[in-house]
Amino acid sequence: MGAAVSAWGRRALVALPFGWLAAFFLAPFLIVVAISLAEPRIGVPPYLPLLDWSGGGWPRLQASFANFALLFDDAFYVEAYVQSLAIAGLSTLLCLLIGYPMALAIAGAPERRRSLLLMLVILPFWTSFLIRVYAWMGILKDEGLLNGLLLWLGVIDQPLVILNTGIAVIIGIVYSYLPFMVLPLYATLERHDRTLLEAAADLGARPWRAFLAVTLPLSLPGIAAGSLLVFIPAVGEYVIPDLLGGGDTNMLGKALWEVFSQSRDWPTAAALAVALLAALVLPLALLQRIFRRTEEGG
Amino acid sequence: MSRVVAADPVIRIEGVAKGFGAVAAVAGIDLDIAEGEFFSLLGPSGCGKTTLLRMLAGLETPSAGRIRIGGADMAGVPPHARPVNMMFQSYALFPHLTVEGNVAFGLRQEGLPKLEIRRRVAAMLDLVQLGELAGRRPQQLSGGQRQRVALARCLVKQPRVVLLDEPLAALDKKLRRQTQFELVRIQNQVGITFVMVTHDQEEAMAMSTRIAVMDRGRILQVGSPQEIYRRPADRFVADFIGDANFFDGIVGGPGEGGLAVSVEGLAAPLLAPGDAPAGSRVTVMVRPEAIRMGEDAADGAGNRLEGIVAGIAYHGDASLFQVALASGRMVKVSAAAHDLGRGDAVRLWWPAAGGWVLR
Amino acid sequence: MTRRSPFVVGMLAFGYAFLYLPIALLMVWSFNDSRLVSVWGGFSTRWYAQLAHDTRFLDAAWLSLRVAAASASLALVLGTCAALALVRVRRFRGRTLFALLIAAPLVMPDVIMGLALLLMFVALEQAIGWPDGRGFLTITLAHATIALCYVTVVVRARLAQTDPSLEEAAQDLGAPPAKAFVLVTLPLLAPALAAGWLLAFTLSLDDVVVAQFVSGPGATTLPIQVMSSVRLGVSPEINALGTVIILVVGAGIAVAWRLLERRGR
Repeated sequence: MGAAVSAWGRRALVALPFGWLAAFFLAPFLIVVAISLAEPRIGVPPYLPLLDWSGGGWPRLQASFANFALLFDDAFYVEAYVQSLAIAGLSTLLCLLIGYPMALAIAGAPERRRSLLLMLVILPFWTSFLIRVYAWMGILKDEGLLNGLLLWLGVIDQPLVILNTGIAVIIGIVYSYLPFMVLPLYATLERHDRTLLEAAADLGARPWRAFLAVTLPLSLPGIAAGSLLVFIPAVGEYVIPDLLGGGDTNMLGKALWEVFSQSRDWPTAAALAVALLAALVLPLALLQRIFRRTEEGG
Repeated sequence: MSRVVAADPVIRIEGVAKGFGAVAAVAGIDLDIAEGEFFSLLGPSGCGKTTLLRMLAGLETPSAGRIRIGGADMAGVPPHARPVNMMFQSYALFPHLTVEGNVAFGLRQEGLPKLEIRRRVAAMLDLVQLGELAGRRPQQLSGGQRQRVALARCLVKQPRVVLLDEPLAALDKKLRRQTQFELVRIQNQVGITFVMVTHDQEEAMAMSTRIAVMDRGRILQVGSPQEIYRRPADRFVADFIGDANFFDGIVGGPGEGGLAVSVEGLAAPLLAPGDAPAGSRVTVMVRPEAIRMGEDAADGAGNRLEGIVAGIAYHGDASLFQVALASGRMVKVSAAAHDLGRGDAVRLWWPAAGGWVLR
Repeated sequence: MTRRSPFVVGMLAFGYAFLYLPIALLMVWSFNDSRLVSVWGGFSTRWYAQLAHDTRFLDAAWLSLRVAAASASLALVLGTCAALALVRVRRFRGRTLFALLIAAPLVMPDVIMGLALLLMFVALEQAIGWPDGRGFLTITLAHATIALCYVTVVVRARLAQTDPSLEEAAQDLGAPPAKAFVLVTLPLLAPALAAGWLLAFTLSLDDVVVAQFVSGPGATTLPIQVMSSVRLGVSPEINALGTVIILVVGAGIAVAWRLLERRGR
């Protein structure tokens, strides 16, 4: 915009969203960290203020790391942590195994078809996520559709227990996050210079070798981006473990809600949130690096 | 140097500089442009010419100095209030408006009555020969047509100055030649001052009344195309404009037709007009077309060299010969078709006045 | 594994089947007279009738639509400002922090966003008495905050493709900066603005986690209502609800597709 827009106009343009995010994202985030150090109590709100002004003069700090210590001591939380990472990891892998060929197929389709194919991948996203997960309950439960079909076919004679297990959660996560894997993969694969594959063929590589030697390595950024875009939200998922996971499945998102709403222990919930974030710092940093790289290089 | 114009210049640039962070894009420019001129800012990319143009338009503010247009100081005057219109390199045609909508845009901002706008737009479209395409969208036009729309859009507002940012860069060679004539013709017809930015020296030479050669934020020389071609201010200008042979040497003293410069590897000192003290290091510039080849080289005051034809580049109307001297130095000679072939011995000659001494 | 090998194409077909199976089943079940999922009891629209008379769902839907519209509009304004700031304002203080704040909510798990926003609303209420209780306002603010980041992504992509010299040309031709923006850039951004608003609207309509954290008594959004119904047991009304949503979205996309095709050439 150069000198053409007034300096005040520019400042307002930046200040408006900046201020909003500072107030409604940054500040809440800092408060979570603060509360994670606070001591719980019965009452409204269910935590002691960090600074006690009652003594007169300088305020007394009422903070401790006890909440974090609790996370390490209590097996419940450790298990939630481990299960979250494990389930998210497996789901991401499965997403990759299904999503990669899909992206490959779309990238290989004739150009005019591609936007339609992509739209078909994204379309489910616009309908209710919650209700679609609910539908999986109907498919996977003991008296559900899958069991009904398998029993009717005679493949099994006892219903498979899938609902309320980790497997159902994995299926739910793969189902919900598949588009997030397919799109970045497609973007990377589509950008590939087709002539590279032609060159490989010209030099004598058979299709499988060409794939391993050319396509796969070049699509690594897409694989990384897609995997992170699935893994990061999956670790903190709440709805899917709640609906499909049942009592046995213990994941961080679900645990956080339970601690918050049932135990009314806000400080521990806050500590759990911080712990969840800590687990995601590395993947988040990786994701940011990838996006910075694609913005610069491409 | 005709940098300052005596009569009231339509543009006066005084001490203008512009920096971006630590980089000085433009460093202290003084320049006058007279009314009705077709003025070019010529230089390699990064020399600051586009920055200077944008400062004239008001799209950038100078860090130092002053710009006067039509006598009025432009400090603090935003682009929409200046008597200047710009033709952008990308043409910047509004894709959501028709050709007519684009050309009428500026007039609408002036709040003119609809009837008058329509009349002026129609007249302008006729001038640039786009009358039938008034209802089309820019996406449906060819590159050359889009360029004419961009020009029409500027001219219809009858500004004091039209700024052109590399107007011919996106056109192919043949269209470029045609458009060069067109632009000059139109400029003559409407009489508006044109200031053009280009990196193409042939273009600048062909179209301009005066040229300012720039490099690294500074103006090296201002003058008519003939002045700049024949009497370049320094080696950079000489090298940038057209083709040239350069002979580095030391001034021996005055000689016939100017100075005598002794050059390593040449038996006799070269004679060329110029002004430099004896003993100073200079470069003698000789344009390839000034040198004559053949055993029947004329006698008289001049410079003689002997060599062997090392290469010939055929260009249709003329050929560029590379002649190797005994010392190994290559001399470029431009001449019409010759019987000479590669390996032939040849004598070169040019009059003293055909060269020029650069400091 | 080349791009056109049978395996790859087969996986694509499987993927689509996988994605659309629950959707198809929802639609089938919504017309199933029986409550059971593996038994077909005959064609019936009773669940739709039940849904149409269920005030809990109707009220929740009405609240959700209002929240979605309000938060989407807020998000649109804020997100567009943010996109303009990032693309057109070349440098400003705190740009890295700003870019981080814009990107973070996109990948932040919902539970953390929800908890953080709730804690802040509570602390704010303690300190200055606003917001007064939690409900429509807090949900709208929360949704707007998350959605604005998505809007920024969409608008920014379109803005980056737009030639900045278009606005400069408009100014050069006599339009003051604000007018140049409205006359030239805004029309070009229009598709991205519409897409951004719709995206924000959908995200708000679909959100259950953040809403659960920041809503209060009497402010039950549609997803929250669905969750509690599910927890109470089988509720075939939800199949009907899902089908309605699918059909509305499907129709909307068909219309949008037609509009885009007409505009395209």
